Amino acid sequence: MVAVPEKLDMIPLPARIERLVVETDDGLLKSFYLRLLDEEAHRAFRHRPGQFAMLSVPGKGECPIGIASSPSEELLMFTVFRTGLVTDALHRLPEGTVIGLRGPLGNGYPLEEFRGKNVVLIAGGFAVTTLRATLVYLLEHRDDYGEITMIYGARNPGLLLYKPELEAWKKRKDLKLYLTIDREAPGWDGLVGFVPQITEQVSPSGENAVALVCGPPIMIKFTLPVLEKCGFSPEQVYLSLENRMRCGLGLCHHCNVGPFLVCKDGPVITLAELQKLPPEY
Amino acid sequence: MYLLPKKALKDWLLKLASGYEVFVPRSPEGFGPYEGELHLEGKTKLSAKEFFLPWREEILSFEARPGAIPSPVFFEPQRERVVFGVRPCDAKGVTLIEKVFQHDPFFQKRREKTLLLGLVCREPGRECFGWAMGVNPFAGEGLDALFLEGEEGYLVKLLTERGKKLLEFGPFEEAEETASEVFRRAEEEFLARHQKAPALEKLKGADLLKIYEADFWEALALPCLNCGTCTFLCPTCYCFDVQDEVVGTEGVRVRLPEACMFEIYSRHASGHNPRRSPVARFRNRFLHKFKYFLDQYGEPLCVGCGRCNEECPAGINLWEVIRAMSTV
Repeated sequence: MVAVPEKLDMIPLPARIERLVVETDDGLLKSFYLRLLDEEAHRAFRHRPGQFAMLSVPGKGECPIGIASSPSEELLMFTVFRTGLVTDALHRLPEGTVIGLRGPLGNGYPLEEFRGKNVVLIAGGFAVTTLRATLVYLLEHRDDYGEITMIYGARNPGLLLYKPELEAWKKRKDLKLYLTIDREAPGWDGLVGFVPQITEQVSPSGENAVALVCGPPIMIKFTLPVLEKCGFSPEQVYLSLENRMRCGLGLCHHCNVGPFLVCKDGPVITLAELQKLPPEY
Repeated sequence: MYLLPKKALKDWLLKLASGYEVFVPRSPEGFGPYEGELHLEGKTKLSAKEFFLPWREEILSFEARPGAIPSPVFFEPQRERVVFGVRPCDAKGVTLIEKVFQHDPFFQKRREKTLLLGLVCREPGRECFGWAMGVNPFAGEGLDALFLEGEEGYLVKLLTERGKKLLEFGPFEEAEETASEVFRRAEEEFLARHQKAPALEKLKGADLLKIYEADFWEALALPCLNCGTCTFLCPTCYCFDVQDEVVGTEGVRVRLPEACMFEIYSRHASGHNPRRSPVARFRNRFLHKFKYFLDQYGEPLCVGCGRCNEECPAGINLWEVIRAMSTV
């Protein structure tokens, strides 16, 4: 047996699934609440909203998933869309199972820099996960920020994540929350319309503000011109990229967008930076 | 400076094997443990990259069942390894990879445990252009010792402390004082005839998106089969894949060389692929080598070994691409 170096960044830590929540009616999104088996490692785990981690199942592999919990929350939370080999395996696991966790990885949102500013969070579909982490953080540090606005859309009410929290957030006076669905649905009395249209109606001001946009490419494509009209410069708009990746450490090079490595330089990037890169995302 | 008589080379390699694992170019194909065969005519098809980014690097072993807790695997050679007959361009390639992998424990452990002994080529190979990429074969970058073949034997420059230890194993003689002069003259003559490609400076200053959007890519990439041969043979390509391999109830997680030429390289689980077209993948490879890496580290991710040009089944020549890129 040889001595293994202390810092092996590619080795996952064992983490127990403490709780599972099926988030959507179609059952394709499930939240995993995790605790690292090593108590010390669990306490020492520090992340910032916008970062991600690799989740792994032995024999299936690893995949990058955004961290949906805020750093202050006791358990690490990941909301996983069942779509590939690893996420399918994850979805089959019962509570109590130990999986692998490697992270936190990536840069995350520079929330300290946003202090004193108005923050607009714009989310579409299940891309809301890291913005959930961000919102929880902002609300915990409410006095450090100006107006907080969240626009969150899903195809139908059954696909909205974190429903109990959404109800609680709706009641807050210090948060402007706009929930929308694509088409009228029975029992839905909220907004109806695509995220870009609702953003246009809400018309958040770009003055002393930043916008954090996460969603499917088509939503982003139509939301960006709206933000421009509202006075947001490309430097004020933050996006979060996703690409296939293996190491999460800037080595394997799968996730490159031009010279930008999503895993290490990102996933968070301003629109201004993104405009300088080849459109390979 | 030392002299190793030509006849003494094989004896010395055998003696080295008492203290080290010794690898040499055994055939035109590549390196292997030294067992008497020695192929020193021209470079091998596979470079010495495989000693640092091997064809399989096991990083984890586990019982293949949900909930199993894997154990880390970490390869550490029992003895130090000596690789003799490494071409200076290939050794330079290892130093370029090291810029990216400097904090990777797997790469670093292999680096720490491996001595590279270089051999200056008597003549550049037909497809070689290391000098054009800024490689000086006499500089000894990445090497522990450098051998220059002369009339009487090999002139040997020991470049590191651990390289000096190799003296203990062989009939090295102190070379005559004129030997350094021979070495220096060979270097001067070489450098006088071989210059760095001006294209590199042009590429450094060039606008990335202009090159990216240029209209020559489609025509240049048309013959490319996306087979990945160039990437696997390249002494500087370092991309890797991570796979879980399961046999029966036991599994290992391995790092394997990967090619950016493959469609699956960038394909998301959703099916979306940011580099879906073969042209996009072809372009990415050259932009990585001659723009992204060049901008970040000041050197191209290429040592001019020419293996890609020699072995490409579609006859693609790297210089056509560089020429096009540098004239945007």
